[in-house]
Amino acid sequence: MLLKSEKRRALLQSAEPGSSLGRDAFIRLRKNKAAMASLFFLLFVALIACVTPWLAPYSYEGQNLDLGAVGPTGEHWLGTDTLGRDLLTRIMYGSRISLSVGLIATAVALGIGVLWGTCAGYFGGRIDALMMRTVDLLYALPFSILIILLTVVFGRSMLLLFLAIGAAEWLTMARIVRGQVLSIKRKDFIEAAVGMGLSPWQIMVRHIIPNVLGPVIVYTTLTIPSVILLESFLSFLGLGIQPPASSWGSLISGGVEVMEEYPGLIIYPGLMLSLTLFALNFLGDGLRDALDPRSSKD
Amino acid sequence: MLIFLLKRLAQAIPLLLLVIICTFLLVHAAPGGPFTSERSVPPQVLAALNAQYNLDLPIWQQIGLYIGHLLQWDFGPSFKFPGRSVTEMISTGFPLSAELSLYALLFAVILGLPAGILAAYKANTGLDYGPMTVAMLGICLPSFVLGPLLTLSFGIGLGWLPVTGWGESSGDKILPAITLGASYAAYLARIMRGSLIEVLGQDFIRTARAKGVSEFAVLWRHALRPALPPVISFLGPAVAGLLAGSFVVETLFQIPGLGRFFIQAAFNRDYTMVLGTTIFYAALIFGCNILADLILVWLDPRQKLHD
Amino acid sequence: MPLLTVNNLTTAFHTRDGVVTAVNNLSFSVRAGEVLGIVGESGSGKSVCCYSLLGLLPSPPAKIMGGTALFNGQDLLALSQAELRQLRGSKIGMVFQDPMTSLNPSMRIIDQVAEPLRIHFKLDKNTARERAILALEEVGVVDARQRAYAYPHEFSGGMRQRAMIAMALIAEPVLLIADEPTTALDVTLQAQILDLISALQKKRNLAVILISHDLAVVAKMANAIVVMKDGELVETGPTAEILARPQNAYTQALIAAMPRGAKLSATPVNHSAAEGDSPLLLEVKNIYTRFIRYGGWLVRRKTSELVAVNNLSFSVSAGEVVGIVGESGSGKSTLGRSILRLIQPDSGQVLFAGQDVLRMTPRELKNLRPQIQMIFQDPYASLDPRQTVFDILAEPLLLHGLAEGETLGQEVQTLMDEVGLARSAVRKYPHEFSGGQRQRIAIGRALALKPKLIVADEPVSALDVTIQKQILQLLQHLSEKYQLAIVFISHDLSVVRKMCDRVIVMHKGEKVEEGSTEEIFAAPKHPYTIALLSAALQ
Repeated sequence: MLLKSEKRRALLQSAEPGSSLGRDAFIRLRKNKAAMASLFFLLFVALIACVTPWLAPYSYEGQNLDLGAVGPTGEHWLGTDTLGRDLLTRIMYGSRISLSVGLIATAVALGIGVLWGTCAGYFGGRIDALMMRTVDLLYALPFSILIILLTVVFGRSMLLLFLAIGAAEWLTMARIVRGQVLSIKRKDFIEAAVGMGLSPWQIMVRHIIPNVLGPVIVYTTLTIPSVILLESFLSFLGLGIQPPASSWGSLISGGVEVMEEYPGLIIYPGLMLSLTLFALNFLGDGLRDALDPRSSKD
Repeated sequence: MLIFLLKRLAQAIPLLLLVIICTFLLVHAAPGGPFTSERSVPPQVLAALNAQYNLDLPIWQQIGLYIGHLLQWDFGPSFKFPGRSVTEMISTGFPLSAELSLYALLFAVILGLPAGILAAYKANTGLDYGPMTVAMLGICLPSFVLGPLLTLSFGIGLGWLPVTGWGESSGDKILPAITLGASYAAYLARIMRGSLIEVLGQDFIRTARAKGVSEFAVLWRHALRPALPPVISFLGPAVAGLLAGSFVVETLFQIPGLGRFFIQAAFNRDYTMVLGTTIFYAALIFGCNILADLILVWLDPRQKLHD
Repeated sequence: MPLLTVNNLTTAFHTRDGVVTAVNNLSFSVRAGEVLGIVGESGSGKSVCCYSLLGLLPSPPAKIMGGTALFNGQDLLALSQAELRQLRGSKIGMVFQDPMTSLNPSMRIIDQVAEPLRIHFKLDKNTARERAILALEEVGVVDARQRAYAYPHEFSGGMRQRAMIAMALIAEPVLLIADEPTTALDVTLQAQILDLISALQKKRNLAVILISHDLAVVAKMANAIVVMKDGELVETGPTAEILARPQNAYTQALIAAMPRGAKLSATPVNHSAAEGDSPLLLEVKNIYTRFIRYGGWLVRRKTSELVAVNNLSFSVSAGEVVGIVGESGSGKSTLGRSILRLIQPDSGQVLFAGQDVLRMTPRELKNLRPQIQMIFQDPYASLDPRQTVFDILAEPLLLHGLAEGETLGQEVQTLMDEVGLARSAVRKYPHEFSGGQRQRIAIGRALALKPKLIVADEPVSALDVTIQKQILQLLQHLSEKYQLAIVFISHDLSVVRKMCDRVIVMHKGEKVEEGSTEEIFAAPKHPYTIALLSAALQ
């Protein structure tokens, strides 16, 4: 920000540093063992997903029909599927897809939602009413069903999946951001800034956005699991990721057909999906507790 | 109350029309769909389509005709199965799906609400953390993971319950209902807990205690009603989620419900079936939302002022 | 033999940061037919002690560490929750501060009032309701038979508090604990509610414990007073004695802050600018502001209209302190914000040094901004929680190019010295300061641009009495030092009297009276002013 460079020059060495809200929140988060364990688990999964092409022991489409489905062995740690493909490799590649859908679609939702919510909240009045009515209307739509309709009409593609899921998830983000902006806009320090002579744009950038950041981060953390869930749901139904590519959902779907004989084919990808969702939810809850103004010292 | 209902209907009907028009136009624009010129469909279907939609008319008139048929509970012929109509499939499939969703909802309410109330009442004790950890598990185990796990353990492993069918052998409704309802039980428990904890912290609860009201009556007479609105707000849209969930559960347990028809139609690109079912679902969800709003107004006397 | 004797009560809270003692070794007693006032600032432990007696504190985190409380021969602190429940509502009634939040919003008034009878006397619904109607009539609810079936939000604030009192007394308790019963109400209503409690107390020979931060309220009602600070008893004795001969310095400060009717000399008024020879700085002409609420779905429809400021004019000379007095909802804050054009009035003029603020272009307005600044009521809300003190004080300076680089640090330091903040706190965030210190930061921010006029909207209302005094002294000092004009908005007459040269009384958006502070307080003319003064200064 504008003040940063000036600040560095002018700041007095003797002054003891204060503790910002963000720092306080981080300290609280660090005390929350469940949230920290979740964070490390997620970082680990993300790291593995990033380096999968170099790390994976087998190719994800390499079939070994002679082998067929086997249980865990020394060569195949989690066994293979009915086509003799290594399950560990496929779960690793699956996490690439599931996580990237989760991140990209959340980013789409975040982008639209924050822009929409900030505008509605900041301008208020008629614009706000109109924008939020639109959100209310869209809320009433059955999105999971409409997405299926879209896949029928336009065929099954990754791009469509990103956009459709993102478009379904931005509504709550817009509502949350608007609510935050409205409550901050009513605070006296915004009036003080107006009285000081700051332009609307300066107020938005310097005072409003930094203050809505906290809840947005929390909700983003909680949006990712619901996006991953939606993608897995569609892939499970066969309407999402198409073979030979795989996501956790499509792996589970493949496992269901042979679950009596080879339960591992459903248990391992299911475990991976559930653990990730678990970690994301715990982290989100932990962040919310850490950022909750009611728990900050007064 | 009546005025409120009429107001909500006045909002929902134009929206439903919008959904009908948009989905119709979408399907209309689909390459290889029923409304394109290069039709490679059986002549019998073509004739039925023609009779229903009058394919030679301009598109607006086609929509008009379609809506006219909808009003007479006629969703038109199937695009893929000669001689079958969408209406027929909805009429045979929906009762099963509705029954499944109802049982799932009952399971969720009966398990979730008491768990949430207990957790709120015993906040920050073992009786809070225990149910809430289970609830978190319920949220993170999607139906397509939970279903196979239940099937493997209770169905195939222990052999206690049948794992396919609906109403064909005794107890075959239990696993599907639990599979579908589990995550809703979890959400309900979390929402109930959060809402009740907030209400229990309010001043009027202290007033009730100062009057000598017993702890049970504080919970039952004073706290529960103000704590219910978030639960009801969740239940309205949850119906949409239950329907989507029924796609998975009906596929898993091979139940010939509407959800399974819908997914099969999506696979077969049975456009008219998908179109009809989408509209049917949309209308159903709007109805449930309105119902939830009505209950909300009844629960909170202050709402009347705002509307 | 006293009705209630409390001995060495100690209550602590187990928090994240360790054990905090809220009430320490407190002892007092009340007799039947006697009113005991407990006075202290927020956080002094006065409410906690009474909640401890009735087992109303959530445990954990609260824990009663020791002491006894004999009530009719029983030790309240040794009773189980079930035994306490028998006493609550039947032998001991309670009235709470905010009747809006203290009544159940989703339950009819009548059923809430009747509930103690149903619990303690097992009356059936209709009998209990019949008695509730009588009780509501007794506390002065008009048309009780019809209105009793309303929900709390359909009652006005005063009526709600009356219903609350009816509920507390319906089972005929012998002791009434009233926790800040009038704090959430307007001044004129406060007097009515206090009169009601007083009348009922005499009629039933009740023992009353009246908890308040407001010594004036307690002095009016109580036979004896307990003064509390930081969880400890500071001083106790008969009311007349405490008021006449306070022994403790804290009690003396509280009494000094109290508004008094007769003596005027005790109030230091800044007369330097009151003579009228200073040039006119601000002229407000015929300001008219209304708020229209819109409702409806997509189509806008006017649902309600409120005239907040109705055709109001006044002027301020350089260096003059003008008070604007009125109850909440009188439109005084709207008027204050109109001067800075934070709200655009529907019509009227705000002439500052001859120029109309309301018709300036954005550029002209920005150039004017340094000359008029504002201080807000709530220092928790008026500072951006994500800025350090340095950022807060430097922002206006940088924006208007008044300082940069080397001089910026010096300017900020000067400002901090000026408002009495330690220089070492420059990198701290607002939440690390107390309320009074935050208000100092806010004053520093307003002062940074060297304004000629400051609009101060209830600048001390959120602060405790002793802190109020310091902040007022600071404002007075700055006003004199810089010839700073202040528009001082407040509901608190004693504060206005200390600060202002001239007073404007507002009621329902209109100016009902204007005059010098001496005139207004010595000889109010308008009936509303008289009511306001008599309610506050009894």
